[in-house]
Amino acid sequence: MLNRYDGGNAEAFLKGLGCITGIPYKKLKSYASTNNLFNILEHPRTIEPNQQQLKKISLLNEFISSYRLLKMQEKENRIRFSNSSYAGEYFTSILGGIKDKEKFMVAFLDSGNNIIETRIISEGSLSETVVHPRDILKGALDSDCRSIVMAHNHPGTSMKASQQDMEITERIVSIFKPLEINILDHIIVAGVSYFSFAEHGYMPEGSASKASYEPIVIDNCAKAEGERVEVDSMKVQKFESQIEEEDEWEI
Amino acid sequence: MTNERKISQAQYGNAAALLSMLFEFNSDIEQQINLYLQKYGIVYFFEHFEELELDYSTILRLQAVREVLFRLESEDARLKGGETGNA
Repeated sequence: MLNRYDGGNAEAFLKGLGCITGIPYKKLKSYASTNNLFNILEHPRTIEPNQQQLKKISLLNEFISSYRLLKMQEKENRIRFSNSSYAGEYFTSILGGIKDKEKFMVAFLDSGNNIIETRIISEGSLSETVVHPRDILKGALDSDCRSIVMAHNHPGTSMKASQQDMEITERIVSIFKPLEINILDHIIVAGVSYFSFAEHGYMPEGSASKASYEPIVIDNCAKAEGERVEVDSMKVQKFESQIEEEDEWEI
Repeated sequence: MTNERKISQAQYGNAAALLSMLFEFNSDIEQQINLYLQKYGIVYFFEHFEELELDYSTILRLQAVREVLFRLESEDARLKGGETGNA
């Protein structure tokens, strides 16, 4: 099995983890000998930590997200979503480590596709989260954005878009279309990988009849039951006008 | 609207605050780390904090964080390298 205790590298990692969280090294080593090392961060309850240790792991996860995001920002000193690949990497750095809940986020972009602001729109449980379109609308108006990229994680690491993922995308596109705010993409993050609706031509055009402001439940259980979307059956059109030949989004 | 967006000082402040909560640093150490992050950036900071004016116990704790960060990065790189045709 990958990522079990493998000597030198793992030892340094486990010692570091022990120092940070207060979990005894022997306990960490014993756990890692039969389990995936990274479970300790991704599914901390599996190692049965006490409340204090659990709090430290949660803080560490928060710091890791912050570190990844700052590192990415320092790389270019600004964040510009020039294409879906960059958006995918950006949201993967934020959402990739979250395995215990679903999080729905939105990046509000200016006319040059630079990020004005990124907001967490909703946080749910392992299996579902509720998205209120009005929260996205409020963020869009606050930031005076020209376009939006949405993202959420699949804690179960499935990269497939569910019917609900398609429906929420179509509804948000329909809400923002009259406001001339483009929804450029919807990114699904699963571990260190991502799925981009735009890359796969899944972005819908939107219509007035779909512009409902009712809360939307993203139910991960439905995905688990195999409620998958087939490309041929979807009522979507390719988002060709948004993707130039070199995969750059139109500005 | 300007295209150049500097990294918000608040983001470095948040990173320093998280480290402080993790290790229960006093406010002086948190402020010192925050200043270094803003001056050097988080990447340089974690590669060179031993060269900065931080006390020994702080350096030991930061080394622990670095071990975790770097191991996660190499794992991410391994997983990405092993994948074909990322969606």
